[in-house]
Amino acid sequence: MKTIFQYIENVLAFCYSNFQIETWEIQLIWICIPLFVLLILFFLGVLYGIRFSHLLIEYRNKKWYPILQHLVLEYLTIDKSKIEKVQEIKHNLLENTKRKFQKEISIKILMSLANNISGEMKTAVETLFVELDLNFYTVNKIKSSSIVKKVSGLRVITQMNYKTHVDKEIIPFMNDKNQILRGEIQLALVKLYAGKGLFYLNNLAYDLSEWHQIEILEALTSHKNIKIPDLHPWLSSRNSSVISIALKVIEIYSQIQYSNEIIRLLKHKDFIIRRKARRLVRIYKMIESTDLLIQLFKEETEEDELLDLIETLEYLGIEYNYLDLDNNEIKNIVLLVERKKKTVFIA
Amino acid sequence: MNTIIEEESTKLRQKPTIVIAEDDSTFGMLLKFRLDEDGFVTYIAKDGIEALELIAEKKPSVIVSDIMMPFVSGLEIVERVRNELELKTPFIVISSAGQEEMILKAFELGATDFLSKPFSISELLVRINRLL
Repeated sequence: MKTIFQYIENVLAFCYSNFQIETWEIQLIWICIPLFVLLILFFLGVLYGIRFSHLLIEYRNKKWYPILQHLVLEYLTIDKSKIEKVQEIKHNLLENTKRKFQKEISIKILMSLANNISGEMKTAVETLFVELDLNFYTVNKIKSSSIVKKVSGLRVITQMNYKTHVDKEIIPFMNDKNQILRGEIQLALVKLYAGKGLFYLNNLAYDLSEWHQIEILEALTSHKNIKIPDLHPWLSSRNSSVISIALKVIEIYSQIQYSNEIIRLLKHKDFIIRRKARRLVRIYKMIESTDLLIQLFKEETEEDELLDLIETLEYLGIEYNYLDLDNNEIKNIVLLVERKKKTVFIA
Repeated sequence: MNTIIEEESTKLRQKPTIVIAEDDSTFGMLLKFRLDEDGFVTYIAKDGIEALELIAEKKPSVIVSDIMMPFVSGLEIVERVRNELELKTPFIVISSAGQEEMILKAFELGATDFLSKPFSISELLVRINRLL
């Protein structure tokens, strides 16, 4: 052993003596080489660590998924009059969902069931979620600073229809600068609280994309017998996307009592809102909008807008005269459209 | 001993057999647990190929299949059951929301009934019993 140490010492001494007599460039290279080797070893260690943790997760899933799946399914389908057996399975479940990975697997199983079933069994799954204390675990995830954890927790809470202590945790983030997080929170509020959950539209800091509006409306319509909130504040909102979603709610739930607001929106500065308002005017055949439509027709200067206006006028059976148009260029376009229509009609 | 085996096999023969094609193992197992409890003999297939093999082997009383299945889709299973295996077994397709066109296609190919996810297991039981 002593000889090995002596040998190493000699080699190091030899290297050091040579190192000293070299130029600074060569010395720098000699310093960089061990640093580079250390860096590679560090990355190899990190990669090995990641692989090890993945293998561990895989192993735990393989071992525990069938066990927990069997226990959950047995508990959900057992005849509840067999009290002793029910208590035994529940005890087993509680004992086997103490560790973090066991909770994750149990949530995965319950989520899979909740996604596919409805009725009594869905309620039983939601109850089991609470009985296994998975609600606290998931609410803690929502409290986490990581957006990924927050979003995954939100999805679980929403699917499990768990409302206790959730609102105070998520409401502060409903206008978060992160689009994914605020989108998930807005969606979760509607899924959990139906029409009441739309309260964030009163104070929306960012626009809702068309796709997100569709998602919100889909979540809203999945609730039965909902109470439609007062749409007046949203129809007067400065945020066009809020007006847009309010108009869609009017269309879906036939909220004809907002006809005055719809007619007012025919003059809105945003063309998307004007177009949606015209669509509602057509759907509900709002003849009371005649004067305003004729006035808008005379003043219109945009080709697409004019064509949509003409469609609305024709749908309502309102007579219009293209000669009333102020803009000659637009007058020509309407003339061309009229001529084309006549040709199609004769053909 | 032989008598017991014979009795058991006679009992099994009398029970209606159901093949369920569902790639979500937890959901498939739940259906199996529930249907077995109601006196059916249930077989679970995790993909389309396994489902076709089970159908050909067991000649079930009812087939229940998800439309979105790995390797062979639910629609293809209906088609092959009707055309290749030439079975007239009642066939219930399970679809997800927004798959209306696929449901129509399944009926064209010979499906008997359909259910949209999420659905109540009691509803599935009612439909199975109606078809038997």
